[in-house]
Amino acid sequence: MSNTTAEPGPRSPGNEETAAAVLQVDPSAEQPGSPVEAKAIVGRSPGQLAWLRLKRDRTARFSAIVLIITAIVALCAPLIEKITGTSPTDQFTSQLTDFAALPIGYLGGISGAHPLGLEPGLGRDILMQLVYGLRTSLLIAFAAALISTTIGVLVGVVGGYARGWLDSMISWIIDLTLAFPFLIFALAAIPVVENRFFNARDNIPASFRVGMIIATFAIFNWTNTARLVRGQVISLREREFVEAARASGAGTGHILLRQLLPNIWAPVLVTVSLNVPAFITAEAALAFVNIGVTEPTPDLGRMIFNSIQYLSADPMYTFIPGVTIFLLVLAFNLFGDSLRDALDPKSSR
Amino acid sequence: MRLKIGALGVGVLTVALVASGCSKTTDDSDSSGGDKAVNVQAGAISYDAADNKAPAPAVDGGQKGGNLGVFLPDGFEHLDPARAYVNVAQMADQLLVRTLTGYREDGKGNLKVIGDLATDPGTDVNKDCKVWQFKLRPGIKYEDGTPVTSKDVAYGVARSFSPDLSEGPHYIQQWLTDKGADYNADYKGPYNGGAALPPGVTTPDDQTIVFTFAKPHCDMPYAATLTTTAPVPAAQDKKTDYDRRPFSSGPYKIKSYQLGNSLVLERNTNWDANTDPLRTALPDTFTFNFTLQADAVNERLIADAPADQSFLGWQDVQPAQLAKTTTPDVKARVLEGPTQYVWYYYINTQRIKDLNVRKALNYAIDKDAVLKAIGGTPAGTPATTLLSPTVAGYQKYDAFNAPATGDAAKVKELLGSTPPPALVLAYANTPPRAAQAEAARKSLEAAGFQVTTKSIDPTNYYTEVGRKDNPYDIYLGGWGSDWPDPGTVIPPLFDGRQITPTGNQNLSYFNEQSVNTEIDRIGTLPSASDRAAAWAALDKKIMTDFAPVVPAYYDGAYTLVGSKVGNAFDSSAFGWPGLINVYVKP
Repeated sequence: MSNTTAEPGPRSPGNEETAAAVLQVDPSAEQPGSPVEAKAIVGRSPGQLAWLRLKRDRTARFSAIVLIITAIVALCAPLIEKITGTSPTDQFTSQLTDFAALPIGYLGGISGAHPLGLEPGLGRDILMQLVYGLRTSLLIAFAAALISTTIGVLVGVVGGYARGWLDSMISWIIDLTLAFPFLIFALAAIPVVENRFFNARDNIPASFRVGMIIATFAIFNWTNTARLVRGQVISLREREFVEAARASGAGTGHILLRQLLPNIWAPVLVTVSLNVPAFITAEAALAFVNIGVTEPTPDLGRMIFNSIQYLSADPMYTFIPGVTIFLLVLAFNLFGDSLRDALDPKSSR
Repeated sequence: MRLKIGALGVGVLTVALVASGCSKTTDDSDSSGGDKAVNVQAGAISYDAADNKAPAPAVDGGQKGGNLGVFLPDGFEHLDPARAYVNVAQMADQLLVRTLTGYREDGKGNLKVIGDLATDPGTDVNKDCKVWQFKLRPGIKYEDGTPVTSKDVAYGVARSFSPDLSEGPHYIQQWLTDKGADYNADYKGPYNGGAALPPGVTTPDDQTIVFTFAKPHCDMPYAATLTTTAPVPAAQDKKTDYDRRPFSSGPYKIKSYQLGNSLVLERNTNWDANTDPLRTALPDTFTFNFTLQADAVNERLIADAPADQSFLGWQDVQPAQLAKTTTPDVKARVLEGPTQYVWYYYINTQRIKDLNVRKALNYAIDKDAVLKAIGGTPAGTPATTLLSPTVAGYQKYDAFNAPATGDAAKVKELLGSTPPPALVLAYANTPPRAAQAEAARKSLEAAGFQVTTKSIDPTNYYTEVGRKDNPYDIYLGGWGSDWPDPGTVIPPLFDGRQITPTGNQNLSYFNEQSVNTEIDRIGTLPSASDRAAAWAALDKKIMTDFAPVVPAYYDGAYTLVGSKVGNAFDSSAFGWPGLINVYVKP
C-alpha cells in the first residue's frame, strides 16, 4: 500500500520478527517454481506480498473474474439494450397466456428475442430487467459500502487515538447509532424526506430514491467499521513504532495517516468486501417492505422478491435472478476471504 | 359499500420446486377463454307464497352432519350485525342471525329476495314505497329459547344508529332520517338515554314492524337483507362487546371465538328449520381458520389433504398459483365467476376537464395488460360498462369499441393537436397494484401521455383519493353493489351532490346536473324493471357523454373448495361461496 518504508517493521500488524520472517521465507517457500526469485532475495513491501498471494489464489482469481464480468455487464447495460433493441420496461403481454399470465413457450418463454425469457404478469424481458437491475443493485451496494467505510475509518481512527472525552463521545455515538432500528428508520425517513423535497404531483427521479437508500445504508453501517478500526488503533497506538514516531517529533496527522492507517487497511478492505454483498441482500430486503427502488426502475432485489412466489409456476423466473445474486454474493464473499488471507496470512494458517 | 383494495396478500411461499420447468406453456385458454357465461340478474323480489315457504328446499344429495371449515386469512373485522359490512362478515352472520329478508340462490345464478324473519319481502303499504310493513314468522327463537319479536328487530336498527357501531351499512338509517350522511345527528341509538325505537320505526305488535320513510325507497326489500335488520334482544346487548358474541337467532351459535385464530360455531338447538325458508344448515359445526396466509390457504386446498377436504377458501387463488389449478382434479374444485365488483380507473374530472382527453384515456389504457398483471382471466374480464354483469338490468354496450389492448392511434386522432396532459397515476402500494400501475403507465405512455406514478400506503389509499382536493389525475378503484341493483352503484359513484371534502365515493368528482336529476327520477320509478332499464340507459349515457371513468375490468372470483364440500357455489349477492346450504360429503 504505502511505499515510504522509513520503518519497515511497523507496516506489519504483527511484531518486527514476523515481518522479517515473512519477507525472507515467502519467495522461496511459496514460489518454488520461479528460480530467479528464489535465488535473489527481493525486498517487497507487504502490499506487493499481498498482491502476489492474491494472484496465486485460484478462488480469488475465479471470484474476481465473476465480479469483473458482472461489472462490465452492468456498465454496458445501455449497449446491450441497443443490441437487443428491447428496453427493460417494454411489455410483451401478447406473449403471456390469458389464464395466469405465464410466458408462452419453454422455460419461462426463452426464445431468440428473449434469451432469458419473460416475467409473468407484466411480460417484461428478464435479460434487460436483470442487466439494468444489476446496475441499480451494484451502484447502491458499492456506493453505500464506500461511504460507510470512509465514515467508519475516520471516526474509528479519531476515536481510537484520541482517548479521553472525545473517544467516549464517539463511542456513545456509535452505541446510539447501533441502538437505532435501521428498518424502522428507513420506513419512516424515506417517505418523509421525499415529501419534503417533492410535491404530490412531482415526478420523483429514480436517482433520488437510489440516493436515499444509499444514504440510509451509509448512516447505519459505518458503526461496525468504526468499532473495528477503533479497536485496531487502540492496540497499535502504544506500539514502539508509534512511540518512536512521536519521539521523533511527528505530528498527530502524520501518526494517524502515515503510521496507524496503513496498518489497518487489511481488516478495512475485508469489511468493504463483506459489506457489499450484505448491502445487495439488504437492498433486496428493502424491496420486500416497499421502501426499496420503485417501479419502473429495474432492480435486482425487487425482481427476486417478486419472483419467489413463482417458484413452482415459472421456476426459470425465480432461478435466473436468484442464481445471479447467489453468484454475486458468493464471489464477493470468497474474494473478501481471499483478500483477508492475502493481507494477513497468519490468520488463516 | 364496498370499496375494495384487493386482498392479494403477500406471504412467503414455501413449496418444493416441482419439475414443471421443462414443460411448454401454451395459451389454450381452454379453461376460461372467450366470454364467460354470465348470469345476468333478474333481481327478482318474490312475493310468491311457494318461494316464501319454510323450510328451505332440500339440497340435492345434501347430507346432515360433519364439520365444514372455512379458511379466511385475516379473520373478521366485525361480526356484530350492526357493524358487519364486508362480504365475509355478512356471509358468516347469515349462519348466526336472521334478517327480515334474504336471498335464495339456486347455484345457477338465479337469485330471489324472499322473507327470512318476515313472511314475505315486505308490504309496500301505500304503494308509494314510503311505508314498509314486515310480519314476522311465528315460532322463531333465539339460542336461549326466547321468542324473536319485532321489537328486537327495531332495537337492532336502533343500536345501529350509535356512533360507536358505525361500521355497518347505513341505507335504512339514512332513509329513516332523510339526512344523508348525518343520519345520527339527532338520534344516536338507544344508549345513554336514547329512545328504544328509532325515528320512523313502529312495532304495532310483537310480530309486526313498520318502517316509514320521508321519500320513496322501493329497494327496501333489498336493504332489509343487510344485517341491519337482524334482531338483537336489548337484554343481550353488550354494545361494542357484542362483536365478540352476537346472540344467535340463526341455525348456529358461537362455541368459541379467538380473534386472529379461529371461530367455531355449533348448532343452535332452538332454531327450527320449519321457520326458515333460506337455510338448510346441514353441517353440525363450522370452523373458521384465520391463521393461514392467502397463498398457504390455496396451497392447502390444491393439495386437498384429508384434514382440509371439508374446507373451502374465502380467498382468491394468487396469480402464481393459478397454473397449479388446471389439473382435472383441482379444476373440478375451482369456483369461478364474476363478482359484484367492477374496477374503474377513476379520472379526476376536476383536473381532466376536457372530454376528449377522458375519451382518449378510455382508448389508451391496455385493460388486457392491467388484468394480466394480476393473473389474467381468473382475475376478471375487461369491462366496458359501469354496471357489473351481476347487477339487475345490466346491458352490455361499448361506448368506444376500443380493443382490450388499447388503441394508441385513436388516442392521437382524438387529441389532435392538443398536447396530452401530464398525468399523475396513483396506486395502492401492494405488489399486484404496483404491477397494474406499471402496466397502465406503459400503455398510457405508448399512447403519448406523460405519466408520473405515485404509490400510496395501501391502508390509506381510499382516504387519500377520497379527498376532494387530491392531487392525482387517475387511480384504480373497485366498487361492488350492496345488493344486485344499480341503485347501489350509480348514485354513490356518480351523484355529484354527494361530493364532500373527504371520504368521497364519487372518486371522479363527477358532477353533472342532467345525471343528478336522472338519478332522482329513476329512484322514484315504481316498477323494478323500469328502474333497471333506466339505470342501464343512464350507465350508457354517462360513459358516452361524459366518460368520467375508464371501466377497467369486471372482478372475477377464483376460489377453491375441498373435495368433500358439497353444494358450494359463488353467491351472486356476496361474490364468494355462501355457507347456508353447503354440506360435508361423507
